[in-house]
Parts: sequence; structure tokens; C-alpha cells
Amino acid sequence: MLDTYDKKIKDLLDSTEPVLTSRESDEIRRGMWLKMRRHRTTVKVRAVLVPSALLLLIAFVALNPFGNGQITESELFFFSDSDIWEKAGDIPQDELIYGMLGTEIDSIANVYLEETEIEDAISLLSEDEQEEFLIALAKEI
Amino acid sequence: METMKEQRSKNVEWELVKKAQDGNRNAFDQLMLENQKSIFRLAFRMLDNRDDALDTVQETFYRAYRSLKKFRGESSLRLWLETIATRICISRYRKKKIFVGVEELFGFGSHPKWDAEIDANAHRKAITEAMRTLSPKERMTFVLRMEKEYSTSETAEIMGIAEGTIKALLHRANKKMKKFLLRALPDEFEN
Repeated sequence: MLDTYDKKIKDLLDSTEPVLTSRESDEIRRGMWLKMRRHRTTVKVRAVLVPSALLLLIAFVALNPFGNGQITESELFFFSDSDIWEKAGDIPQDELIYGMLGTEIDSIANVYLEETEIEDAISLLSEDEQEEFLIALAKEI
Repeated sequence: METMKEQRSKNVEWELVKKAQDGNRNAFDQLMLENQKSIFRLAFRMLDNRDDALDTVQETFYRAYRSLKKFRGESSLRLWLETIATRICISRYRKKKIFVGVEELFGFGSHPKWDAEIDANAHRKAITEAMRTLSPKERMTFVLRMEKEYSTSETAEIMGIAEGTIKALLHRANKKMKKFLLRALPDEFEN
């Protein structure tokens, strides 16, 4: 059973209950879907760009011409694409994954992105997604 | 014991959740519609600012949608959503409290601006001011127990802390609230 204080507090809370207007309710839902769309665009862009970078990374790690030595970012572009793809095909998958896990994926992916044709990847997105991606990119820069 | 009506409504909700998990946006829209008022009330009481509360509701649904596949229906959807909202609110309230503290230190906060829509009457102002005297966890416990009427165990589940701690937090919160309200609204709160 509620004591006097509890009842008074309950009455006070009920009498001052904040009300959500239908306009605000619509805005919440609209804003949420917009946020989701932005998130999906980011994921899609990553899905388009990063696998290419990772494939290149896998191949490069497998082809490391310096044996066990460290790979520098600038050395990544010593090879032509065709050399890399041709030789990467001969490497067992577990070796490729092992090599990949021990490497700084982000920094190598970034170098790859600096050198690659981003337009090709962007062209795979819809017009809206392209616009959002370019806005996001501009903010990053 | 659960009534037939409650069970039916649970089943309908679960159907909507399953559809939303399969990517049906209308189903998630429906779930948002049904739960947003409740989450807004929680967020507004916690943050006492309309824009912050609206933003919190949106963020709650955004996070919920992204992890909807993990929701298995062990608790009600509302409890799950309010758990997400609670975490966002506590984190935002902590930041806000620091900001309000700085404002008051330099005298900017001594005469807070009141949105005409919010500050409709002295009661609203009193409850808002009284709740500002609470720590983030005291405030959340107070809102969940007194306003949302969750049980001690549900509140403990939402906040991720022990039931004994909830009881202690509620006791402290009520003591502070009572002290403030006795001064702010003596006619209502003096016996």
C-alpha cells in the first residue's frame, strides 16, 4: 500500500507527465531511419572498399619479398596487381589468414585507399548513398 | 498472474519483433510507435530537457534496431528498450550534471531559462528541481520505481545492479526529494 508521501509523489509525477506530440513522434521515427540509412551506407562503402584492400593485403603478406622482415607501407606498391593475384592463388588459405592477422590492416587499407580509384567503388552505390558518402568523406578530410 | 489479454498482446508484440528481425520496417515502426511515449517519459524525467529526451529516444531505437537479432524475448521488449535507454540517460546525465555544476559555479545557472511549454506550473518546476538534487543512479532508480512503477527486481535488471543497492538508492532518493519538496511545495507535502 502506498504511504502518503508515495501517493503525493505519484500524483505530482502524473500531473507533470511529459507529453510527446505526434509531430515529435514522427520526427523520432524519421530520424531513426535516416540514421540507419547513414549507417548502412557506411557499412556498404566499407564492404565495397575494404575487401579489395584486404585481398591486396593478404596477397602482399603472402608474397612478402623480405622474408620475416617488416613490411613498410610504401613497399606495398612495388608489385603490379597481376603479379599479386597470380601468386596469391598459390598460397594456402590458412597461411593467408595467419599473415593477415599479424598485420596492421587499417593502415595498409588506408594506403590502398589513397592509391586506388575510389570512383569505381563509389559508382557501385546509389545516388543517395553516393551523396551521403561524399558528405561523410568531406567531414573526415 | 498474466491475463489472457496480456498474453495476447505479448504474442502480437513477439510476432512484430520476429518480422522486424527479418527486416520488416513496418513492424519495427509499429514497435517504435507503441514504445516511444514510455521511453520519452523516462528520458525526459532523467534529462529534463525536451531535445535531449527526443534524441535519447531516437538513439535508443537506433541501437535497438542494430542489435534486434540478439533480442530473444526473455524479457518484455519494453524492459529491453528501457534498459538501453537507461544506459544512454545515465551517461548523458553525468555529462549534463557536470555542465550544470559549472554553470552554477559561475552564476549562469542561478536563474535557469524555462521553456514556456515545460514550465507550465510550479509543480513541474518543483519536481524538476527536486530531481536535480539526485545523483544519476538515484535519479534513475527514482524514475523507474516511482514513475514507471517497475518492481525492485525489474529495476535491478534494467540498471544491472543488485536489488539491495536499488533499495538503498531509492531510500536516499526519496529522502532528498522529500526534503526539497517540503520547502518547494509546503502546502502539498506537509502533513
